[in-house]
Amino acid sequence: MRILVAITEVATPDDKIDFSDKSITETNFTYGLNEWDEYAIEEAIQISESSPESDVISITIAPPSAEKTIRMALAKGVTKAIRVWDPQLESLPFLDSQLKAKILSKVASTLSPDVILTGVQSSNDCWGSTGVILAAEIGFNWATLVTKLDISGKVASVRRELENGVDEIAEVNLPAVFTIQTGINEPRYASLRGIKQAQQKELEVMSLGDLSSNLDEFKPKTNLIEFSLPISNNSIQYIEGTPSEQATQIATILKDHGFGGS
Amino acid sequence: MSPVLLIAEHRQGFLNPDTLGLLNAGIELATILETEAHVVIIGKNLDALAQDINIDGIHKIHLISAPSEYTHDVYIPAISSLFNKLKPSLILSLHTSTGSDYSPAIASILDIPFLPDVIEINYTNQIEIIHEMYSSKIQAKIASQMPAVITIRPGAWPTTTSPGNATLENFDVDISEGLLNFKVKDYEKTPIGDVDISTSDLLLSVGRGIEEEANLELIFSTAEIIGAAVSSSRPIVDAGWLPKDRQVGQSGTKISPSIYLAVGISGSVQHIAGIKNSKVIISINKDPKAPIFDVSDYGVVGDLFEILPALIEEFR
Ligand SMILES: Cc1cc2nc3c(=O)[nH]c(=O)nc-3n(C[C@H](O)[C@H](O)[C@H](O)COP(=O)(O)OP(=O)(O)OC[C@H]3O[C@@H](n4cnc5c(N)ncnc54)[C@H](O)[C@@H]3O)c2cc1C
Ligand SMILES: Nc1ncnc2c1ncn2[C@@H]1O[C@H](COP(=O)(O)O)[C@@H](O)[C@H]1O
Repeated sequence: MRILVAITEVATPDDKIDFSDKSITETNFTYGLNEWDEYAIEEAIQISESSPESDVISITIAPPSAEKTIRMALAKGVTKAIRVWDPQLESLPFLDSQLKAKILSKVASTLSPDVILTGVQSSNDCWGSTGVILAAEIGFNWATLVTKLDISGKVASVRRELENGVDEIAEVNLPAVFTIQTGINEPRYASLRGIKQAQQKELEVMSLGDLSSNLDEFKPKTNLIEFSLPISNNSIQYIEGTPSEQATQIATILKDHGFGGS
Repeated sequence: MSPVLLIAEHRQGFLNPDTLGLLNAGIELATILETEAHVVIIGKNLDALAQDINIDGIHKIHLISAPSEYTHDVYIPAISSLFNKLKPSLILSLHTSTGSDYSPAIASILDIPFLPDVIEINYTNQIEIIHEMYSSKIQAKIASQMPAVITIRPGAWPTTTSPGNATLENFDVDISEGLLNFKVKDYEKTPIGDVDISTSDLLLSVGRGIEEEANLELIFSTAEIIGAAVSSSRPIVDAGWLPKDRQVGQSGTKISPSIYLAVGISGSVQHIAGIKNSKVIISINKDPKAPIFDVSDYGVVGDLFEILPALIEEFR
């Protein structure tokens, strides 16, 4: 069984974000694997461990700076990693989900996977749609928001998480794309041995030219007008003071509403 | 200009009430574009549902009968063929578990732009939308040509409506069930344990700011002394520290207490979706830019590990 997993590095902002109209400067950011992709990687590794002669290949569209994060995936047990980057992508303010899915589908189609896993969403772009577009582009079936995945032969039984505590139980034929929701498993930590081995594992780098002779295929369909800070029109009342003064005021509000006894 | 096509969402016989917000977004856009707002509804037993969406401002309702509950295998051919007949300038759906399951694929199949999780739509020669990034800390204003597919955030548009008199039209699409690769077997609802947070009047809700399972002790002792039930954001449930029925939010439980006290919760879109009916929201967070403050009545910028022990002291 061949399992592909699309993983992305995300930057989590501190309380201050540096940005201009057209670009976000990722200073004051901490970098790491997208939370949803941690679960997708774990799921991929678990599937490979339970079916003989499996491999797990990760694909990431990112500049070279993401390689430290990609090595973490290799350290956890991903067999091989692919990183795609290109000068043409460098100048974009962000990669929209259609562009990401187009690139991922080009890479995936050369690898004949049985299963492709993505996260439900990335915490930086928040499109929540790359996985479905990837499936549509490559012509695979798909299931989104997966919180349980059992593969037996060419059929996958899935639990999908809908709204308001309702789950859907369904069956999907392989090959298929699954977008993985947090909580599906317990992502493992990389072992020291894994971290050592990761240095020897293959991390292949590809450019857009390696994927298609027609680079126009990778032109985004939408464009950024500007970034801005959200405007809050909320009339919040801040409770100031030392922690104990703040606690006193919270206690007063609770008591005013009839809570906490006297 | 050709019409705006809105896709009604329903499951197991009930309209998703956020559909009304979607219809209002579509009516607003149709007015700006000087065109008609059409709705399409797909599935079985559509008559009653068609009544629910027949609101003032909608011109036409397209009914597509299909043999089963929602699956993308049914919706995609149905919507694509209607698109080819109607040539709408925009397709709008909800950014829900359902809407985000088929809408991206429709854009891909029709080879038109896709704009997900949109909170505002404007038009000046081109479509301009607002999408939030970096956990709601940045907004991106993005332009697109038409036609395009847009999913809007549930709750971002008002849901108040008045009755209308749209024309109803059947549209036949052959959706042979034999072709379906995706089979729904069942639906299951999270069972409710010893505490039903949907009926609690005072909730102390804990998020990832609590850092470690052992620290939940502080939450439970605070809750006990103030008389609150304990709920949480998703990561606490994902980690297995609290059962699923304690999770507040879009995929958890929608709550409506008198007071919601949120500690160490950032206020993601999906979390906020569940707390809007709280009468008073008090949040404690050490990040002054945390989005939870945008929906709170009282905000405490501070460390929960200092404030909660002090709060316990207040009640001793
Ligand atoms: C389809 C979908 C459905 C989802 N459904 C839900 C849902 O139903 N409910 C839900 O909650 N989430 C849901 N999520 C997940 C959601 O996107 C967020 O990941 C989640 O809500 C974040 O939880 P959090 O605020 O506890 O964690 P974080 O976002 O990590 O926030 C932790 C906060 O704690 C603060 N903090 C840290 N230390 C301290 C301290 N010592 N004192 C005070 N504050 C501190 C930090 O400043 C931060 O703001 C869903 C996501 C998706 C994609
Ligand atoms: N730059 C990227 N490289 C590889 N995979 C990605 C990238 N961005 C997003 N993905 C995948 O798509 C999922 C959904 O992301 P998004 O649609 O951007 O919210 C992520 O969880 C990843 O699995």
